[in-house]
Amino acid sequence: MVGSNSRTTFPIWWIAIVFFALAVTFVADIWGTKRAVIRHEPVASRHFDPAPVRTPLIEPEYVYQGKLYRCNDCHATLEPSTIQKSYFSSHPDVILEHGANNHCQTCHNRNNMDMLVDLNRNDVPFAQSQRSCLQCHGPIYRDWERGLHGRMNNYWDDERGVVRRLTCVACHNPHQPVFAPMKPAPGPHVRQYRDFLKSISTENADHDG
Amino acid sequence: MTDKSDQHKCGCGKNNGDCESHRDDPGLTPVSRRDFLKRSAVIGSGAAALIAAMSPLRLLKETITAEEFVQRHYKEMSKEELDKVIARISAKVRDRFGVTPRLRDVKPMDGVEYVYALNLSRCNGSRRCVHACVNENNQSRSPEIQYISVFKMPKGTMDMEQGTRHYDPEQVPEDDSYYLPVQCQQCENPPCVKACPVEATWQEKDGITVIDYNWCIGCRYCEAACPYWARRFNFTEPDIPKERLNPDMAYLSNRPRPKGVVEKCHFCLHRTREGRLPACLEACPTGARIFGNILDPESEVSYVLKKKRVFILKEEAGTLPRFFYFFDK
Repeated sequence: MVGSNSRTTFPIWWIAIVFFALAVTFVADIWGTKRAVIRHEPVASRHFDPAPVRTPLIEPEYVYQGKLYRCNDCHATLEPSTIQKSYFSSHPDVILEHGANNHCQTCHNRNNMDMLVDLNRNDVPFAQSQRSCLQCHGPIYRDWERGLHGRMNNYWDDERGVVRRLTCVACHNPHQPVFAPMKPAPGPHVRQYRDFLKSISTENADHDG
Repeated sequence: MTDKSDQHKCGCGKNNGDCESHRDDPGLTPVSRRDFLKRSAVIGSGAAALIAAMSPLRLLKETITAEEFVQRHYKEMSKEELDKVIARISAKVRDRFGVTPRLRDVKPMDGVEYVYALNLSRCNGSRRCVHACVNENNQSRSPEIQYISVFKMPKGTMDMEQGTRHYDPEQVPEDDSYYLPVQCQQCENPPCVKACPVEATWQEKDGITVIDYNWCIGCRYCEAACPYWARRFNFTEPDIPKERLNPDMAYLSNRPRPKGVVEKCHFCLHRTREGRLPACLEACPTGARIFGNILDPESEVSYVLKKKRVFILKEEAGTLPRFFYFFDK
């Protein structure tokens, strides 16, 4: 009697244990999708920063050895320069790679270094440097005026707000005008699973949306 | 003294009849303490497993409320109904993210039809637009839903099949490639709208195709119908960190979506219908993107369409996109 009873209840004990184990895994969601898919961190905010790549110089100012000078603070005391593309003793950060334009005085007024010039030798303030650029880059200036070249910000509708059009030097370094290559922001996520051995699989990544 | 009839005298007071309890063997064996514990353990664990298996139902309450279930289609709702819905969604967002959103319904402007133009010579594949879009439009961050796919294309072909979205060099642009960003083309003849069996997506009068996320049944027919691979599906509850939530929201655009609905680019309608530029355009470091009103002959996009050699993607599909590409130095 006792023996037959233990034979019938023995598997029932195991079913109970399996049920308990299942209950625990369901409640704790051990096998659930939440755990299987790799969690991605949000991208760094610099990847969607709308600020332009450069901060243009609005005033003719230069920081030298921690102090701020206006250009004429030094240049008024110096002989007007006719220097070509070469080594600038006080401007180690200026490397002139502007195509055939290899003279400082093509854009800078050599008699008044606080000003830029156009080809008619008229003064152009730093804040309106595009007037200097348009002397050679006419078609691009035409497109820029129509909003085709260059960046816009804020509003498309000028009845509702200010259409802010960035100038040439907000993107181009006037001394090296080729737009610098940059590191691309992270690409699309591919599906990644963590399998039982905790290794990461990216099978069929191209089929992911 | 002891009589058999007395011994088995039934509780009902009789020694015969049909109450059965006066019999010698009533058919019940006495249950031992051990057996009782075993059986109750089996039954108890079975019940626990059943309840645990039903535990996904706990989430149902958060997924849909009765109010949401009876909510009408966006186009059928009166102003008062829509205000109530917006208040309800705002409260839900506040509960979930701890931020009170500026949620409103933005209607299309009169005399405006939006057109996008993109200068492929200028695009350097930096993917700033992709992430500006995600940041603006409250997409899920894990896995990240991106409305814009930037294809790296070998030079000399327009065949999108030869492009890849998975590139990660040290620097872009690479010499042998150009980059083709593709997002919703806001077609004038949209196949996605025709595919939708419940009219949860439609084209508005300013040309933007929108989705009522509360009406979408998640069948994904529109996703399959789109030739530009522009629609995305929320397979999971969107995972948006609280500090990344953009509280500037509209009902038809970037409010947090529920699980199981389709979403896509809507030309940032909560911005553009108030005169502002789309987020992808503002983030583009090279100024490759041009946006505006095609009905205004003085606008930038009108100038592009008049003066530049523009083309559209998959012209043969007959979708008449409002998104134009061109090459121009």
